[in-house]
Amino acid sequence: MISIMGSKSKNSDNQQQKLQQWCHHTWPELYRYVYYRVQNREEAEDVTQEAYVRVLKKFTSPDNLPPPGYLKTTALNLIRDGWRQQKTHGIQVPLEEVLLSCESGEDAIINENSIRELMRQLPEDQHRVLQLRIVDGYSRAETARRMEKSEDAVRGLQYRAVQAMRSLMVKQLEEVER
Amino acid sequence: MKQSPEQELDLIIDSLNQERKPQQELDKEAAELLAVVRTVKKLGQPKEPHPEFAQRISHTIRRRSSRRWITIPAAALVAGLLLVTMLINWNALFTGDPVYAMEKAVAKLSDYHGMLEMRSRNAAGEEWTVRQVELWSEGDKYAIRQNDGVLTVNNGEQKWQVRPQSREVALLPVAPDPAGKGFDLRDEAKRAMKYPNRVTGNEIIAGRQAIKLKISPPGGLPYYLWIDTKTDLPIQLQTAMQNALQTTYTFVSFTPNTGIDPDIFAYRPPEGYRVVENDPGQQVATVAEAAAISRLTPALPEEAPERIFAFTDRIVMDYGETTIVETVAKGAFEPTANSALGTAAGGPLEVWYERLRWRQDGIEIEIEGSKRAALAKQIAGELTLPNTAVSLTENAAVKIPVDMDIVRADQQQVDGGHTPWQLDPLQVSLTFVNLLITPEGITGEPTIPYGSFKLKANNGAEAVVTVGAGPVKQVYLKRLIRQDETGIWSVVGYDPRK
Repeated sequence: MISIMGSKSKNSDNQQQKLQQWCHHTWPELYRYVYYRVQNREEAEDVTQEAYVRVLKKFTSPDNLPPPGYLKTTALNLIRDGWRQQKTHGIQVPLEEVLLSCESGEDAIINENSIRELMRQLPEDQHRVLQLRIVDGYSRAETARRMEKSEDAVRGLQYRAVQAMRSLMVKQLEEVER
Repeated sequence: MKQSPEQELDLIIDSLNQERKPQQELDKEAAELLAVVRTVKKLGQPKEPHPEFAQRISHTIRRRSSRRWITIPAAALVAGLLLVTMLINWNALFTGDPVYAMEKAVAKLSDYHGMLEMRSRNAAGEEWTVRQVELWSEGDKYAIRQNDGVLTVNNGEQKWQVRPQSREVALLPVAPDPAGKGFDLRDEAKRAMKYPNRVTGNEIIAGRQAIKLKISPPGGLPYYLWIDTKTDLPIQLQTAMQNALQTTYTFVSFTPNTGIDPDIFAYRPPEGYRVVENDPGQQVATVAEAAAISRLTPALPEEAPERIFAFTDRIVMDYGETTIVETVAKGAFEPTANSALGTAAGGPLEVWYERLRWRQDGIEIEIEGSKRAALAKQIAGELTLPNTAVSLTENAAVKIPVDMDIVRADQQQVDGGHTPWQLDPLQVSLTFVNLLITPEGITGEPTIPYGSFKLKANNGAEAVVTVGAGPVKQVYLKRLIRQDETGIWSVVGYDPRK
């Protein structure tokens, strides 16, 4: 009995080790993939962790673990679920879905280069407020100080700037579709 | 107050800049703008996970895999089950549910000290501070100091009030202590878990970042609870506007797990103060002592209480969250009209909120708290609680259609303190029957008086009332909005008298 338990324990240790190695190799990429979409650490950590929990429910052997692509798809679905629950009456938001699916590569419909290009099409103060407040992550107060405007003015300006960016993105997506 | 779209977007940007998930409920417009903000933010530097995140992931993997793949010896089965329970909770913890996080934080709370401010606002928007109290809480012990210096302390063994104006110390009964300390963090966490809730935004409350939670009791007006994002503990509660008045309780300062000075809970009357006693009772070691002091022979459950208090006319047994009070039965037993009915020791059992009350061998027994049913069964032997699975109203000879819009409006009226008679099935039946007789309205004394109406059955959700005279023999009622003591009764049918 002792030897059987000992053997089982050894086997479990091996399985555990394989699993930990798989996780160790895959999580940093998965985290970056999620962060790129959600743009905040809290959500990225939660989704990454939950993705492993979900995947391990389905894959019952450490000898047959899924490829990174499967983890990413699971994570993407978790993001969609979380965002849907956050919406009034679970409404559909097509623009959000398109932007969520955008990859970071050159071939992406909207990638970093095209975002910069679109921002350049905005009036100067709108471009600047997006750069300071969103890209650089300054507080409204600090942004107001740097732009020599009141905080209320910054709040209004950033709202108009984000609306304008939305219009430009929608236009670009429509052009790609055509 | 509803935020403007500009303010809403500003909070969304703040959340992302602070590496937090925006918590607001989003309509289509806000969801699109958030998607755009996220896209623009891709130009910034991504943040690495917390240093301990790798460990967190590894921990999750270990727990998950050990549940599935490791053979568990029989001796470790109980521990394994515990692990699974922990795993389930662990997963929920990382779904970002602030209510769940609050429940966990409250469970870990050993003590706290803070200043609690109560503000009222009327329908015209005028706001004023009602009072501010200093509060110390540690387990069952608490101390509250009011603005006027009056200090109330309950240290679990004694309860007293120090009144500087009259220079006296009043000794008060320790148990039962239903009023407690008012806005209690544990109670609020429980309530938030019980009712539907959703996050509506992030706000700064008393200098702290807080998640605003909208809690919607079924059929009632919603109220709001703010949860400190740093401690995951409630810091502000705002009631619904009732009778044109809304109250907000705010911890303007708050320190959890602070290690309260034990002197706060020590009974030491200040020098020169007069001690006033009004039968505060005394803690006794045995039931025999309690019986001798109170001059009644108590009915006892099998489970021994944590503490026993004896008064001149009653015995109180304290089981922590549950209290049994036994007194000599006097007069006829009259269940509260709005209570549900069961049976205990061969007689009627009143079920009222978290309280059970019945009579047995000349003693009236009241049990309040979470263990009430188990303890009542131990005392009464035979105990039948109301069963909502059995319909009491389906056999009504005449069905009455109900307009749910009107019922909902009536419920809100009652929640606001108006027409409380709608909580009493006898009063609702009286109104219904007398309006059948005089449809133009009830003027003066009703034709069929209140005394003619008797509660035949009440399972908490449905009730049957018998009528001693007039054209109706029985009235059938339902609580259509909320099936608890705050829910109004509506007539859904009746049996005509033949």
